[in-house]
Amino acid sequence: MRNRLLTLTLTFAALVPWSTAAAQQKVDIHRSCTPTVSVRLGGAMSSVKIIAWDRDSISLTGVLASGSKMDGGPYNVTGPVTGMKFFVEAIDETALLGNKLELRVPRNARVWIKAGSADIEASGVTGGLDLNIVGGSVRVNAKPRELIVESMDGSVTVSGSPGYARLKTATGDVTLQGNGEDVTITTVSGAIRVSEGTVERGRFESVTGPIVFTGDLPRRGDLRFDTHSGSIEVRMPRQASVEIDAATVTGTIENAWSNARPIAGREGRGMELGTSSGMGGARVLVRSFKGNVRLGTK
Amino acid sequence: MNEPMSHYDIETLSAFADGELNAVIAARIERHLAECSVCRDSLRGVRELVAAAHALPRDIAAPAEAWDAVRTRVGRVARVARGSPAASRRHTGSWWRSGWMAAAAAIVLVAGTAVLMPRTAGKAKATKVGRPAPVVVSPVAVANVDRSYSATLSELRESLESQRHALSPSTVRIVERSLATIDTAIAEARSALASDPANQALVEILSAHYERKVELLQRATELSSSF
Repeated sequence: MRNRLLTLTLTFAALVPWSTAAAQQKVDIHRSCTPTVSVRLGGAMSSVKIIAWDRDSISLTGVLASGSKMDGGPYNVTGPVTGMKFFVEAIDETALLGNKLELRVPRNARVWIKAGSADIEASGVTGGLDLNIVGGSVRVNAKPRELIVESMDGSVTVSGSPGYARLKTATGDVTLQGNGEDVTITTVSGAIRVSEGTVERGRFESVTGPIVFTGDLPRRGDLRFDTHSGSIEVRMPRQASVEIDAATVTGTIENAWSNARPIAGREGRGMELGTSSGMGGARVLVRSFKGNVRLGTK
Repeated sequence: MNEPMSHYDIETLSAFADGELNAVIAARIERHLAECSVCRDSLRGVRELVAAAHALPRDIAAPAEAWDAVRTRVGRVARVARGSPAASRRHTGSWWRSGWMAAAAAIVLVAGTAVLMPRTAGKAKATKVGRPAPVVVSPVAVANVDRSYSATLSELRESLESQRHALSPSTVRIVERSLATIDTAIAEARSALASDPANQALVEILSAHYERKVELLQRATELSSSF
């Protein structure tokens, strides 16, 4: 009888949205889950840490400031959880600043976070990460199969090797330190920095933000850099086997990577440069309206 | 409502669009249009083409071989006219009635050039580094770029304005500042295109800026709907 009551209580707890509304509260939720569990967490949080671990369980811990509340729960009430969803509300900015959560998930989990202004850190996840913020920062140290980060003015730093990555900001800076199979980084006025890794297919675009690439190029790499008025600096090993095609409408091109000299562009404005080395296995395309382009060695 | 099985041809619909049909036939077509979505779509297409044709510049630089073809055709018409006045009227009448079709063909030619040339130019440049062959891009192509984004941009702008209150003032500032940055870039690309209308790279740059603007507005709209 006692066991049956406990089961009922747990079932009830799973069915009823979990909520807190009192003074500062401790969040402490633990559930067993499938290895590919999907977790969605949204709302007013100032800090979220996502940590992947080698267990088939979820742990959501942390504190919520006075006046904040959290609703949500698992998608399924029986068996290991296949998905969970939580939403955090804060009555004001002060309460928001006090909402700090830590989420532990299986490595292969898929995590979706949407917050206003928050610092998000993710480590160890090999499944999927979809992180969306307005301000604050996103730091990812992981090898997710799929990584999507969208931010307005928050900075984005990825140290790891995402398979597929789409990183977008309006004014925030984006830094990628690591390998990437298929990477697109887009910003309006933030800076894009790519270093310390190999990007196979990369597209880096800005309107006014500078772009600096000092990563490595695989033999069949395909990189494209586009900007309106930001500067573009691409530094590659001198012995890299690559074919480069660079053009600016009104900007300049400086080539310190090879002996090729840029020529004047259309109607004497801007510059164009075509140069290659080795078998030309990789391809680098650079396009700029008025941003200056510099090719160098590393 | 059942759709009619038969439909008006493009010639008739274009004549209808141009107001060239008598009142009885026009009324019959109007009744048909009320029930037939296929013909309504066709008519919409005709009207869009006519509008695009009106937006064509007064003179489009045609390739030399095109002029040869025109001269040959004019010569043939003149020969027919000398032999048969009725035939001449039929030919010229058909030419003028299908004037919008010629304009449409010009648009397709120009738009096709705009769409296809970057790839071929890119390939040429990839294999042989140097200056790509000059590409003729008409202002119509630029107008088409503008037009293809304008509806989406207005809708997104409207949507954002209606939800602006849901965004924090700092977010609104970031969005507006970024939109202003993109608008400046768009203006600069357009201005450069005005002085160098044959520059295909500028058309690509302009399109890319519009893409970014659409993307930014979409993200801002999504933010406002989720917080």
